[in-house]
Amino acid sequence: MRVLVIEDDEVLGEAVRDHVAASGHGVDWMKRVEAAREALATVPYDLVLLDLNLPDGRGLDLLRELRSGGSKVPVIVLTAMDQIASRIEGLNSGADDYLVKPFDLSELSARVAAVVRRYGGNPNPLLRVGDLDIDLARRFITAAGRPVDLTAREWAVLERLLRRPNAIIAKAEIEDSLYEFGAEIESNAVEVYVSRLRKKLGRDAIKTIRGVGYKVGQ
Amino acid sequence: MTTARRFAMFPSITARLIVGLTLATTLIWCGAVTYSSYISYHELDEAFDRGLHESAQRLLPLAVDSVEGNGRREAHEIHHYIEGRNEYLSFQLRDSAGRVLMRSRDAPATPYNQNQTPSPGFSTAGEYRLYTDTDDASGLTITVAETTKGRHEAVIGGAEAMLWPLLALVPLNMLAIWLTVRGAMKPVLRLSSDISTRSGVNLAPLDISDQPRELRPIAEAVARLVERLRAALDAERAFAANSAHELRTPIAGALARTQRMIAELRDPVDRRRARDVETTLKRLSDLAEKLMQLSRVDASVGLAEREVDLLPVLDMVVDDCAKRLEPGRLHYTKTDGAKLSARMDLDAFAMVVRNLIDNAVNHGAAGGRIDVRLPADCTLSVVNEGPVVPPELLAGLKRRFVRGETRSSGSGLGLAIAETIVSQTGGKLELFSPAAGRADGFEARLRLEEEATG
Repeated sequence: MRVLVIEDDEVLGEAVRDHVAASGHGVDWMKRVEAAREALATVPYDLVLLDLNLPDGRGLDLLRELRSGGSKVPVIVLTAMDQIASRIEGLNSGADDYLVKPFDLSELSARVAAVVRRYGGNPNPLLRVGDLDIDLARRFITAAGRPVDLTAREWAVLERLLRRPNAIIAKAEIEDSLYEFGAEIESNAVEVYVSRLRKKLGRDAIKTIRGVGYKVGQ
Repeated sequence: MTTARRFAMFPSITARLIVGLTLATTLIWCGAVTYSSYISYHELDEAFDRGLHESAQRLLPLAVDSVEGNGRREAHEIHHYIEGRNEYLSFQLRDSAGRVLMRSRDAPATPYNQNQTPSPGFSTAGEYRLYTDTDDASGLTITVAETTKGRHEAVIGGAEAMLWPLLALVPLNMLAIWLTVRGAMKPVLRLSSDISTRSGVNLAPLDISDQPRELRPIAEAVARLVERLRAALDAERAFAANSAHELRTPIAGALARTQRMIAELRDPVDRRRARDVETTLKRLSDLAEKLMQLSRVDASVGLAEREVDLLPVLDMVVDDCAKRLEPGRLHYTKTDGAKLSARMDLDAFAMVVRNLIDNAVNHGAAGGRIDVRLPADCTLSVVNEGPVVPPELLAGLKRRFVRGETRSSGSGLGLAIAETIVSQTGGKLELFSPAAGRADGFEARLRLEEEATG
């Protein structure tokens, strides 16, 4: 999926970006409210990680702006402010989760997974699709009872498809979530990952709908 | 009597004023009655004497006439002259030999003064005041007597008449003083209630606009003090909040970067070294966090202005802690309809709960189950599995920098912070080991607002 990180601290921002990218998602990293606003206007992000104290404004103002504009993009607030009042303000402004710094990157991954699952309409981290048993939180999958190892990018593609099981996901949507701003997209990248996934999970695990996209399940 | 002892007898200024002023008024009144009785006694004496003198002068010619007209100088009584007119007045008419020729009915048959011939003019004999006059032509002498009882009764009557109002005066006086003092004390009471409502949570400026001149310096001094205190507390809280922000961000950066390094490093030795850095960073982070909490706690952040519902905060903090732990490790049990409210600052309460859970995580059995329970009686329990803590160690755990025998790297501040906040807000934190209903483990039990706080 495609993630926007808004964080003005160089070290933390870079580490978060690298971590999210290493999980196989496409990441853009913005350090200012203004730049983030422009990016949000042009790219359909799947998730926003938002710091609250930014050099040119308050993260919460940007969040309220997004929500009043009708945006439903999941937002996780990353902040050094741990006061209950600011936490409540954050959640009331439309944040989906609130993570106080400092945090473990593994915890960030778990929160991201939980929020994304909630948006997919399936808050249960254990999924069963066909003969696949998937634990999204622990990133553990078995195909017909046999454990399977997936790379970060393969997981990213599968997760994207699993967010709406039984629905057709456009190829472009999967592409978008794989790459960050400016990265070169190879034209057959999605086909490559889908064919690798089929090899590991079974031929019928992912169905191709010609000219439209892919789907898992019925 | 020292001032302190006087205040011990009469703790209220109003009572002291009422008693003191009433006593003084009564004493002054009694003095005035005594003095005026003394003066009126002398004046009455003179007036009575004048009356006696006049009676004698009027009676003498009549009595002489009556005796001479009778032609017999024999003793007999006449009544009608003075009968019914004055019970205190009587007279005797005597000849030059001292024989009583005539007397009023009340008068004795023998002369008033047996021992001596009454001297002309005023004299006193026993209970009588006498006036004696002699008719030069007949040589007859009249002595008019008046008992002194009448005079005494008049003086006592006058004094009594002046003392009676005192009975009404004392309560009236007390009432008047009470009303006056109450009116005058209003600004003092307002000031004292104004000052007494000021605390760590209410440092609003004092209203000194309509204080009387006498109280103005006190009110102004207290207002200045409150203002300075407020500025100092604000600065302290802002410092704690800002330093929290300024410290957490770089620590978060260093921790995240280190965790990325661990993920990317291939050499096991390098990975181990990076893990050491990660562990140290987490300890540093934990210690910085606890020290910041301690500085906030010492600025008395615990008490809230009014009672607040703490249940949503408990849910939030427990949920937060559960997400940071292994799935299924933290069990949260709430009795249906359980309520949790107290005059407690939300962040302070969150700090208490977080510290109790952290304590259970850090010092309980590794990976062991942790229970957060809120039964119907509104005591919050945090229970962890683990070995029994010896009683002598248990007693010291709430002191700063004291840790149990533990493999963990806790700061030894968590329970001390929780204890300080809880006691600031009138609650009670009790520690048990083994935990209730178990053979082992540790339980921290929190009771909010044990004693009602003002």
